[in-house]
Amino acid sequence: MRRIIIFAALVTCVLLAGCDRDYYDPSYYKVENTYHHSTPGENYMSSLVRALVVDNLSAMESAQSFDHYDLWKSSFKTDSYVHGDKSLWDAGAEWTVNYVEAVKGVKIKKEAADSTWSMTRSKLYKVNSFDYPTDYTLILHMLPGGVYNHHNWEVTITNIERTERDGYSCHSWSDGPVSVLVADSDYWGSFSGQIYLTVKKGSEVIDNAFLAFVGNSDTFYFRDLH
Amino acid sequence: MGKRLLFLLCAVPALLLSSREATAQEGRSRMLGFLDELTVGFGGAPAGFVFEDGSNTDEDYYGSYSYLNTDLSGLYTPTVKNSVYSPVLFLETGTYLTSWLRLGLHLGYYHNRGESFLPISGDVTRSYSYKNFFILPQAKFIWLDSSLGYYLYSGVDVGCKLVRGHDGEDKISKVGFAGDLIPFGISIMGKKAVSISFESVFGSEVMGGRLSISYRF
Repeated sequence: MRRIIIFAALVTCVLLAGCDRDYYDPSYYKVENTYHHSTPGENYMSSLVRALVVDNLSAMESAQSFDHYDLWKSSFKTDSYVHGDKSLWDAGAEWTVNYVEAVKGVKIKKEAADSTWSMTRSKLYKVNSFDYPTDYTLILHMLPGGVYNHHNWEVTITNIERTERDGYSCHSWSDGPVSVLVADSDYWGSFSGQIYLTVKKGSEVIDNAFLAFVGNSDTFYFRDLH
Repeated sequence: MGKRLLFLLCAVPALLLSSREATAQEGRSRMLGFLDELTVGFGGAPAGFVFEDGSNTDEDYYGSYSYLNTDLSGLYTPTVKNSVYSPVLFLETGTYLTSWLRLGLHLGYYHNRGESFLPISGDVTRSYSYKNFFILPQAKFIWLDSSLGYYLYSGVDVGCKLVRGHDGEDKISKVGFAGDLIPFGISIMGKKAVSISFESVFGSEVMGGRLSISYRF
């Protein structure tokens, strides 16, 4: 019996020692203030911009499809999908697109009879599983080329304002247009352009960052730009 | 809630004591004929360890691409935790009311502590430490009492837990529900009054199993 007790005591000691360890390594999350890949900040910016751009392009192209087949003026009830007063290609057209759930209610406006539209929305928008009030204005310019129903685009991010919990907010914009091209598959996979992000806590700016998209393979990320 | 808890805590020991005489006459567990049992042991993993979701910067995967699923709060002031848990240590008393029913009281304890840190610098922003005590009236049902010197059982324990500690500057002291389901357990008897038991446990405090040593008298 003494052996059993000693054995049990030994097992207990081993288990106690085994449980007393860290399973999170803080150094994993450290970010250098220089060029860096796959950092949390890059993840955040990249997720925000890519998701927003792709969702809005999807809404834009769905509206174009409705326009192409004249569904927007059909007698069927299309308001649950799109609502427009004139063809999407006519100068002065104003549409509301409800077809893409992520950006439901986005407004599309056209100033002139060219291939440029503006998209605005001021509602909750989900990025990384988090829904927050997000206001944005994008200028979309359609480029030649594409696959199936997807075109190549130039997207200028005039302004993204996002208000999050605990007093955090951010402001993002692009330095000129971002080329968003249809990649090998029939989806937008190639981004080229430069994005800025300013992060505030309350009214104080706590961070500045810069993200350069370079095609479909890489991004460059810089922090603490002053 | 308080009165019910008090009743439960008083009723079980009273039941255990009052059952002694009756049990002695009815016949005890056929294994060794002892009436009462005192058990010490440990269990793992603490359910808090298994279910902990203290991080707001989860890593998600999309195909081979991984990204941190976070918002700005998670990025700049995360609740990423660096946690340490002790095993669940417990003390149990029990009495065999019949050859198939054992009622008892299970007292358990474990400790967990940890800290949060900033993702940018790795600096620790907050530390926390909790001591978890629980008191669980327990019933075990012996469904195979082998002449080879072991018995198999299932059981359940339901009671309350007390959590005390601090989370940053805040002192924490709260009472909550606690309970375990024991789908399967085996107790192996020694030649004398000592037995070793292993039981699988799924509950609010332990998810996994418990190993224990018991003395019968």
